[in-house]
Amino acid sequence: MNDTVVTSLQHNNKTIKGIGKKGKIKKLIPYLWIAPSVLLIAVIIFVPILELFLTSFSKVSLAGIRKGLIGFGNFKDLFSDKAFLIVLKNTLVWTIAVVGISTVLSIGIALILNKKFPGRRIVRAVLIFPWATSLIITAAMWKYIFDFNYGIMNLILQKAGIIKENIYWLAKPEISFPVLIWVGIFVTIPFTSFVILAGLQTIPIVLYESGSIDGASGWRSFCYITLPLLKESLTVSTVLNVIYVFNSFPIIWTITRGDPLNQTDTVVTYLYKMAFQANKMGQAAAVSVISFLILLAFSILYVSIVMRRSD
Amino acid sequence: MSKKKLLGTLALVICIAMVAGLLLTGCQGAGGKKGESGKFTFVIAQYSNATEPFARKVVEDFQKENKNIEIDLQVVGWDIIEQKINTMVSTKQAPDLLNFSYFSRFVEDDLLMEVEEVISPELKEKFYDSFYDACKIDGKAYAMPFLASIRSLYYNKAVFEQAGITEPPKTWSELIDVCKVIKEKTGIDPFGIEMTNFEGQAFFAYFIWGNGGDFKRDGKWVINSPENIEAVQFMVDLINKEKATNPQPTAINRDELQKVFGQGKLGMLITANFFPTILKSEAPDCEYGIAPIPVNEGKPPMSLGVQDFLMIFNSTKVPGAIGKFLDFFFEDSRYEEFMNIEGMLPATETAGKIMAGKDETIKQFIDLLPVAKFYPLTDPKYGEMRLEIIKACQEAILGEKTVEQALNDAQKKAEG
Repeated sequence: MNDTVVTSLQHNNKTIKGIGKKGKIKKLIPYLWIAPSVLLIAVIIFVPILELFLTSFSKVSLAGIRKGLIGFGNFKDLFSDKAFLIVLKNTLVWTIAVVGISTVLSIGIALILNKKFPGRRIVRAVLIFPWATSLIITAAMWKYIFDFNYGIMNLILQKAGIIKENIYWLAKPEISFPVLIWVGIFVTIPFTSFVILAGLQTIPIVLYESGSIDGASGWRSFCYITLPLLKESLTVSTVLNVIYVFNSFPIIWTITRGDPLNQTDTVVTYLYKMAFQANKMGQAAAVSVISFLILLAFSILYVSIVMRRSD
Repeated sequence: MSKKKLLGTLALVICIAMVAGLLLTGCQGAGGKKGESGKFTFVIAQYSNATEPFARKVVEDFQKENKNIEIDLQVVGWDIIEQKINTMVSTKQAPDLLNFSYFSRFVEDDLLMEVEEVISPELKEKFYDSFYDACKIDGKAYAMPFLASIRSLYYNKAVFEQAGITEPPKTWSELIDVCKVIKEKTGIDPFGIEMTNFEGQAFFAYFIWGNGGDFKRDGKWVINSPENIEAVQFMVDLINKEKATNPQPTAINRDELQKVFGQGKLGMLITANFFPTILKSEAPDCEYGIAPIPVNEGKPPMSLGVQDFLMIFNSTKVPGAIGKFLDFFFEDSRYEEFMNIEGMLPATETAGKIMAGKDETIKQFIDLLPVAKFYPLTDPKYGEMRLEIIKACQEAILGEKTVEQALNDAQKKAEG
């Protein structure tokens, strides 16, 4: 009996060893399969990032040719102009306002869309429109709506007797920046509310039923059932929105071009002006590096906070 | 046996063919001037929808006459041409022949050929001196004029009639008087000014030149000269004190102002000679007059000439072929056709004479060409200074700084 057990074990051992050798190769094979994608990502993502960092530390001629490293010179020049601080502040306000307000509004919209009502399908389809339309078209449309000379907004407000004289919506930053933020919210809502709607649909109705049996009011069940279970979709929508909105170029560029005096510029439009109007490629790269680092820091921070909480 | 024979003959034929080919290419290489045959890239900006078909036709016609030259034509929209060229240059794929609005930054990097090494003396003679001289850096031409536009004062005849004004203003004090009358009698904004990154520097130029000031003097930037400060102060007062302009000059660009003018909501606007072409299609009912740009009392008349350039990169292997093509392109009838299509003014005197003889309005513009003043485009710093100047004017208009402060700060940037 014992003997047979031993031999069978030995036999097993042998076979295990055999599998081990083959297994090593087998383990390598998946890496081989993903190698092309890894290579592609390396070439398409990491090489440009490397180039960007290199450019930001180089002196770049007006024609765009690198003329050797100069350390932090470009960054120093950047911060010596107080316009860049205005731009950073604008970017912060722009991102927080657009993402924050549109997320709050989207929760409401998603809650409504999750209820059954006649014409719900149509409303859901219509909600996608602003998202499906090209951003430049949407921005240009809003620019015309708020135009001083032939904008429909002034016309409506005048006919309604709310204002007597046309308002120059897009001249002073005190008015034009809120208008920009509104357009940003308008185009951000569809995506956000669909992500949240998808999240809502995963919440089992049973939870609300048992909640109502225990006497939870609508507000309470929203706070203690809906919101906690929406956490994942809110994380996804917030991280993606912050990155999109932070990097959003067409709205501001189409409507105000960041004027006057950089007061409606965000990092991205400032960067574009730097690169292609002032031809300061080195400084433009420096702006890019800074915005890259801000976004990277934000993503790491946000995701780690959310991950920790869910643990 | 027969197979071997066949192979042998084949080998012989191939050998002969190869030798013949070598000889032929050898002949080609030896014939004529340096680099007269081969392929070159020509990047041209898209002025209108008609640019590409016209340029393609010219290239095709040229290639028919010159079978040994091949042109890779690329028509690029204005909104992306800057990025495209920047990429081409920084990745060492510069075009051979380029049409663009700047050239000095390439000279700074030693990328351009001297024009006179390439073009024929006859072609050089054709260009207006004022235009050709504006292509020179340290006495050497690194680009040649491609086409030009010139600025004048456009006034709305209906508005003038309603206000009872018969003559467009010639001087600044007349300008203020006319503005007051228009504003009182019609309520329409009398005078259009834009101060955005689009073309704010043009309005800066109209006023400083109209006061005897300039961007640079004796090779040095003089943005805060007394004449300039006075001129910009006049402009700012026109906007803020007299309220004689469109309400927010920092929030509307020239193209948008042109539309407002076309709708009869603006009394006067200084803009380019292609404006009539635009009005004809967009506002055919708008009746307008054209007059010289008003200047301060006792100052000589002037206009702003804007020219685009053609330049040859020194990486080219076929300067001879490019020279031939340029002769072909600037032939009067062909060049005149191009100018008419685009509503632009010719940079060659010969075509200018022909066109002036045919059309009275065009003659009016062409007569201004010799007195045209230009932006200091030969200074590589101009691109940056353009933005600084606009910024300074915006600060002055929005009351963030006094005119003097704003221009002093811009001058510091020019010197720094």
